[in-house]
Amino acid sequence: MKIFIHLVLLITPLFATSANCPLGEYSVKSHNRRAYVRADGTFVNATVVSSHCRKQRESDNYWHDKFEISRPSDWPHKQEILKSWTVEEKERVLDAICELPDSIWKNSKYKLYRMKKSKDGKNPATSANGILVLYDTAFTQKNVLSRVIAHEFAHEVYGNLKSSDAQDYHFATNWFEVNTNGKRLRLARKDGFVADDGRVSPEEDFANNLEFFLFDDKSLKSKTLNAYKWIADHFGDNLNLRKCNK
Amino acid sequence: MKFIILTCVSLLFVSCSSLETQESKGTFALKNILNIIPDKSDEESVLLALGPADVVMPIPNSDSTAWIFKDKRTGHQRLSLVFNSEKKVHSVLWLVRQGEPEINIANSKNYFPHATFEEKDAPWENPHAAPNERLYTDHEKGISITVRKSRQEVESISWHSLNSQSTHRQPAVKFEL
Repeated sequence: MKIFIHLVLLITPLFATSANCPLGEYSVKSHNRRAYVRADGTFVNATVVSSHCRKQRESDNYWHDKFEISRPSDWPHKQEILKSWTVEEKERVLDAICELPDSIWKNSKYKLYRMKKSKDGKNPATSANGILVLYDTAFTQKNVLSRVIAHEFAHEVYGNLKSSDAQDYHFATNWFEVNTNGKRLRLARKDGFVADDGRVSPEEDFANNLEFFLFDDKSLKSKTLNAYKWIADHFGDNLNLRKCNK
Repeated sequence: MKFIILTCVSLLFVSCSSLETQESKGTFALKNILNIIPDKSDEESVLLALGPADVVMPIPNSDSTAWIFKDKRTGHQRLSLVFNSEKKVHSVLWLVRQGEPEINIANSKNYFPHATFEEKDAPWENPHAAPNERLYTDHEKGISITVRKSRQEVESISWHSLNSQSTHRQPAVKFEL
């Protein structure tokens, strides 16, 4: 009898396909979910999620088929090891993106990759042209996943800015650019960075500032009011986190 | 009489050349900026041609100084020049504006008909994000054009002295996300 029950439990999730779910919903297999923190700071306890049908949100429609299982062919960090996505991680990512304003992901060309550990230690994510890699650390309680992903989207948003808008951002946040020995050197303002690595480039500065605009606007206002104003002016009122609880 | 005529002609010549080279308030033209030659042009000749820079700042960890010229209409940076310790131009960097023909890479290359450009992506410098830049470089002539990959737009055109400076980029103190 016990064997039979185990067998049923083992097989049941395999049959929970989207075909079993009503139109506009997709199936989620049972899985263990670790504790995590939502975008609004709510702590969510660890639990066992049983298989169920889930309503497909707009962001789910866009991102559901963006999870990649093979290594990007031109990924330069050879030492980083590819991992498979778990059901839990996919759900977490979909929930995290749902919490973000669609204006920062609607034109995204990212495909989502899962790797074990960044070559830069605790770094939770890396992005490149059309590639967003999430590492183990992105899924720990220390990191708010939606914040991690928002930062990477911000890199893409910066890349898609018109030249005139990018130059306007540089003007507002006091970035200058020179050529030394054939390399572009960005001259940063002396202070007013929400994170120190923002000094690296206007792009990293922008990604940090957009991330803080969404998740810690008080810090952004106090450290770089010009950046706050620029982002608010550029994106208007549409740049807010959303509630996406089940 | 000869002296007077000679003086008048000289004055006229100086006045005309000044008119040709002096850029009116912030409305620079690339064809004029191309006359700024690394290792030859100096602070004095640049001042005569372009007027005073909007911002003058030292380049960190070097003896060089940057002169930044802004577009007076928008306030955006338009041009930067780096001067070496001998006050000669080391490099010129021109930022292309939206709507200008130079935003197209072919048009930008046309300014340098004798250059042979090597094309490649900019190297990763930020540890967790790839640069969104494609570089077209003629190493022998010290010319480089930077294209914003995602939009296929030229961002900047620059040329520099082949005598290297001791400047180098400083990484961030620590990595954060």
